[in-house]
Amino acid sequence: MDAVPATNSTGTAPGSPEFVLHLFVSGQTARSTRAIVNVRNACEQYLKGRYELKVVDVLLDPRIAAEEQLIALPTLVKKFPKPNARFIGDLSSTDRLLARIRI
Amino acid sequence: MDPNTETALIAEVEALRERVAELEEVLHAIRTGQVDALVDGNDIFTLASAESASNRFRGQVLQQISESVIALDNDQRIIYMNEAGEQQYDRKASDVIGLPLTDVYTYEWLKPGDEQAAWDAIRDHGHWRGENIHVKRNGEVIHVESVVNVLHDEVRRPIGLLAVMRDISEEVRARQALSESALQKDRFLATLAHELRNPLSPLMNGLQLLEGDDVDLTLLNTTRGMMQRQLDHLVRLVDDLLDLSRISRGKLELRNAHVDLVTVLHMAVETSRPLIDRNGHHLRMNVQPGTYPVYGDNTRLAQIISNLLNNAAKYTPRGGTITVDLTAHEGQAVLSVSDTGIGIRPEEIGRVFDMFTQVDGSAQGAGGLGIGLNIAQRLTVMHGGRLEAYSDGTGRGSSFTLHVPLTASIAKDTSDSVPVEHANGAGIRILVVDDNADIAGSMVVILRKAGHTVGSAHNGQDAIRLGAILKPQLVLMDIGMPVMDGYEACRRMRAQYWGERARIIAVSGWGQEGDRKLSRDAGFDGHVVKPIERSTLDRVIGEASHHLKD
Repeated sequence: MDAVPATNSTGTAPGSPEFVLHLFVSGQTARSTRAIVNVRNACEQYLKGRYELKVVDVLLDPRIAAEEQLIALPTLVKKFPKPNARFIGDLSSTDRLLARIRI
Repeated sequence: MDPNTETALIAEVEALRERVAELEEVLHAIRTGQVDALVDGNDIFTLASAESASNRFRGQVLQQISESVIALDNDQRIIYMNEAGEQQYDRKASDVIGLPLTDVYTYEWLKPGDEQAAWDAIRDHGHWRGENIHVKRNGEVIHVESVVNVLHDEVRRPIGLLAVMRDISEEVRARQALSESALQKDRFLATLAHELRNPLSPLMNGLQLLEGDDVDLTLLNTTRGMMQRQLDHLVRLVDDLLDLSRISRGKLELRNAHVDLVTVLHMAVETSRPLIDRNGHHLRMNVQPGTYPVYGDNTRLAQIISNLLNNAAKYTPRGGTITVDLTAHEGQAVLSVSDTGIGIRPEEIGRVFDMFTQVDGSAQGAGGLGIGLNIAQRLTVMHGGRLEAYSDGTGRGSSFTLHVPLTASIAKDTSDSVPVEHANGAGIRILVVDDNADIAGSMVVILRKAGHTVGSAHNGQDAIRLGAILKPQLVLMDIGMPVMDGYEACRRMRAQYWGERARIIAVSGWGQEGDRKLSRDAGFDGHVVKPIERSTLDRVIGEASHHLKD
């Protein structure tokens, strides 16, 4: 097998990637799995090499949910580029997802 | 309204609009069942849904299985990995979900055709069980046993694969070691059969010759000499085999006495001299002046040294030099046998004492079973010593060094500064056993100052090991100790040949009749109460010394 795509593409420039996305989930559920798969697919397709996706399971540290002022899970938060944007749901609609994170 | 206020208001309204839109979105997501959980402060409320049962199963059951569980969708992307899988492949589930399986590991197959067979089984039967090799992202290679099943949805459409995998690298290593060991034994048996038969033909020939009518004295002597040599060789082989068998079963007994290693060395040289001379070697002896008192079996010690000398003679080309050095160093006798022979390859030095190994036969007169050095090493260990091999490599000669404790310093030191005194006529060998290092240590000091040879141990197991080396005539043993208590240790000591007739005295904080009976039942000769008074100690030692003379 040839070279495998990296989990967290960090872009060609040294330093941070252009898009930083955090996906907050509550445990390894069927829905959170779907959300992760969908987001990863969209990123690989449209942002290849320019994004970093971090999956955070708030069940492991519930304080994060309060810190991030989350209302429901799963929630996708765009941290960079500013301004922040949030997206709630199972994120299967790629168009809406992309619109929200403003490509 | 002034422009600034207006701008501010417009901005605020915009912000509010966005916030409302977001909340509407959240409500919509909740109503359409797209939400797993709601957050309120630090609390997270999981919503009941059609998938709750399945989610609980993942979390509570699959997460806890000790085998790795990975689920893939139809594109071979990971949609689930349990905790065992995270550990086995060194990746976090949240990092790999959505990625292709090959991001976590790639696989290799044991036999050509395995891969095809696996995919055929999955396609035709919906499942496959087998072994293959996984190469992790960090390059590490593991042997894995997998069970793979096709996953279906409610209408029996295939939606992915479920793999349950077990790391069997340890088992595979053990399997290989076992078959290697079996191979070694087979080779050994073949060599053994060959070596035992070798002397038989000349012996048969000799007999035939001697039966002839025209035997003259010269022929008689030559033939008899040849037959004697062959028979000696055969006897040596059989003796070696018997030694090996006895040592392996723990049934080889040493007949120990106080011997001078120099005498033993001369015995060994005498035995090996014919072989050395036959190979035209020169023998140099460098014995540092002095005596080398060792407590051991002189026949066995000579056997060890002879083995080293014979090897030197066998594995050195004609006309070489064999050097024997003997010195004392830190309470040990150090005896080295060095040669100018074919040397030992660096990758083989570690295995030189292993059973059944033999250097590829480039030695003259090398026949042999390859067990001599193994026996030599085990005999050395039985004497409380060690055997080491050195070589600079092929063609650069070898050197084997024997370390054996000298009797004046057999005792295990608990304090370096205490001078060790020679056991004089009145001194005996005493073993002090107490899990309290201070109690043991102070007793050792007192006894040594009185001229005895003393060793100490802090639990029953160590006491038995040290006893085998020290062969104490008196054992002062605490009862309450970790690992193995005094009762058990005493029972086991009585089962050893050195412990049968030793005086073993229980030292305990308890002194009631019941306690003394327990001691008697375990085999103790006596029972004293801690702390031991000087007069009691003298009495106990006196009895032990007196007992010796019987």
